[in-house]
Amino acid sequence: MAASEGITLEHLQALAAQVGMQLTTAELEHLKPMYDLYAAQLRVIHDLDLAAEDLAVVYSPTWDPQS
Amino acid sequence: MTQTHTDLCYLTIREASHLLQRRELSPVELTRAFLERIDALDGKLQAYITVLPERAMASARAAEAAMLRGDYRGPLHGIPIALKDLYDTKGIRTTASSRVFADRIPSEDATATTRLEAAGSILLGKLAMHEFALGGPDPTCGFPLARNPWNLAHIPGGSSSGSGTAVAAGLCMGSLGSCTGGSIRGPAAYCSMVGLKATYGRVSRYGVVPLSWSLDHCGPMTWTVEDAAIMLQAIAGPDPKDPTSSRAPVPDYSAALKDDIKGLTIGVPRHFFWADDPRIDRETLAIVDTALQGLASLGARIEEVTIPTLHYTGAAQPAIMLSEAFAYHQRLLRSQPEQFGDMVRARFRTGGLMSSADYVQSQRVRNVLKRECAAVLQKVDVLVSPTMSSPAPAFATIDGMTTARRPSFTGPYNLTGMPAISVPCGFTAAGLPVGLQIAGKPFDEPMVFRVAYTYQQYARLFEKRPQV
Repeated sequence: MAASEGITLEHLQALAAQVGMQLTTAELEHLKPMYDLYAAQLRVIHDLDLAAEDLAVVYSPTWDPQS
Repeated sequence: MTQTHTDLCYLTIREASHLLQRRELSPVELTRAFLERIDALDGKLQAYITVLPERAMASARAAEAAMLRGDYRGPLHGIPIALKDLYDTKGIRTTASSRVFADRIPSEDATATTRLEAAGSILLGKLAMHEFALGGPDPTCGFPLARNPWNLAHIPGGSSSGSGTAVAAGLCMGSLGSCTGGSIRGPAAYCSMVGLKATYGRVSRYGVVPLSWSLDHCGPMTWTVEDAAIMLQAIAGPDPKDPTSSRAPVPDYSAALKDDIKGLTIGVPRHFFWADDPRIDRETLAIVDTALQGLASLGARIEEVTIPTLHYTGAAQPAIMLSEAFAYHQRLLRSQPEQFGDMVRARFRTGGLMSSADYVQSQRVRNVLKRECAAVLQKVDVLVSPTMSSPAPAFATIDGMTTARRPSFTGPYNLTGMPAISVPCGFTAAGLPVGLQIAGKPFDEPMVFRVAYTYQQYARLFEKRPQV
């Protein structure tokens, strides 16, 4: 998310359009406080140094999807 | 309504089961009592979306006939239960409390639905919930908003709101909730009852409308710990239809209900749950401190522990949840957004605005948290805390941002997948319930049950029912 005091409606509109959502100005204004709240929280975890924390998926050899 | 009906509807599953097995109570009589109570009270409590009187009575008659033949299936046989309205029920509307699914009639049962039916339980109906299991009672979702039976002006918690209301008010004997960030334990705490989020993979999610695949858990909501053990026994175990379900052996959960915690070590992460944060209610913390003293008096050792990454769960859990929720709902969010309630539409849309970097970093935080919890659980048997950061808020104080602003005490264990239960531990001066959260090692539900049961028998809050 954007690292700013609060996202502009233009930027919010562009982000929404990227995922196929065409939102009205009223809808963007409604969304902005929630987006800004989550963005502020997420900035904190982006500042964490997680070193080489690995996200590789682990497959279980015992799972048989055909069973 | 007669006193007899109230007495029957306030039996626990275990008590009713004993009466049924000894033929001192008939499933037909019991089911009829619940249907009459629902008819009398649900107008003001609004716990049910769908009541199934004909089906329930037919099932009760079948259960009675089976018992008379000597075909007794176990402690859920003839027990009236209800399901959160996101557990698929073949031929019965399953709405997830959303206009999007207003006419959705599944062609197949959820695995948990099938297992409860196989255990002989009687399905009374489908229960109210927050739309698509996302927190917050939304009057724009088009479905009833369940009320807290301890104070009708307050919410019963969510998202398994109707499950909390119905069990606490004696409108069913047990229910299944689902939990992505606290939707089982929250209503349990707010309604002074028991709610268990089983270990991720312990209960099949097949046929349960998803909110967030990697965070969704299933579990029982009941009046007592014993009843939660009985319900979990029926639904736990591997399911080939759910690739995340575990093949770990299913123990005898009722055998774990020892009234003894002498020598156990209880870890308390005070740095997080007792943080100097004005959003955390001090009266709740004082009640939980008293509960901890009670656990110590029962022979447990209380040890303060540190889990540094707990402080980042408030960012990681919603980012994962909303990103996955957007992925599931995006097509309908684009094509028929007006069908979603205002709160859920806004939060799902926010999930679509989060970046892949947000999601990946949140998953990495989740991994670190899991390792930290695993390390602490090498030294302690369970982790104990308040279930919720404050008592049930009044409907009048809720807005679309309430859930997002409030610190979550339950979300961390959705990230780790650990089993976690809420048991009643007291009431505020205003008469609102407070819950005690007990979390354990993955698949160690027996230990969680043991501590919860011992505390329950000590505090005896199950003896106090709401006046409805």
